[in-house]
Amino acid sequence: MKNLSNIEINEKEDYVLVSINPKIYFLDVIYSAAYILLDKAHIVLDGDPEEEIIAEIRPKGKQDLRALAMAFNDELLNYSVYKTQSEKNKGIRQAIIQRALLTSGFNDKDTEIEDPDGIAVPWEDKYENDNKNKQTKKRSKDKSK
Amino acid sequence: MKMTIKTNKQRNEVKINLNNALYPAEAINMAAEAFKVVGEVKAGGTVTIKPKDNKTNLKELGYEFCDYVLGLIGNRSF
Repeated sequence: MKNLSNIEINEKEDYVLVSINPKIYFLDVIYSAAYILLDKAHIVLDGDPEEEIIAEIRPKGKQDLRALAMAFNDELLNYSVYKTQSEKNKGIRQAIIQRALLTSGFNDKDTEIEDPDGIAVPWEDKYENDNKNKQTKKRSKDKSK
Repeated sequence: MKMTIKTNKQRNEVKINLNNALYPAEAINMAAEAFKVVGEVKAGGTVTIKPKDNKTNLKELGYEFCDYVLGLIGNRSF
């Protein structure tokens, strides 16, 4: 069976190299995986984005190098799946947003509901008479002064 | 350009070369600007950081700079 390991451990200098195939993992995915591990290790990327990218991982403090490299591999896979799923759902997501924007109450006729108790009275209709009364009262007061 | 972090204890500075194909120049320049609080920073092809005090771990500073650039790329904030 072929060994698929992409990890090269350097115990002496306390770092691990992980080689990544950019044809399998996109650059965005590599950045995201590296970013998520920044609190545990220093990460430097090198190599050719067309051929092979090397991630140099240096732990911050004492950590198992192999476990760190495997965690990086896991994150690569994790973000890869996320990216694929997010691209698959792109159309649905856009449709939901469009629908939400279209039905956000700009068109009153579409959002009309039944109101048997007559509660839903527009503000203008409800207080128009009150305002008129107040205004006339004020005017009459002013005149009396 | 191949990535290197070279320290010079006598001159109390660290020179960082980042791979331009993987690290956008805008992100490097933005990080260089942010690291001016640490000391003197010269950006360009090679970033040179000369900390204000001579107790700073230069190698660590170099790696912190690389992490900062990666953080900017990860946040897409440039």
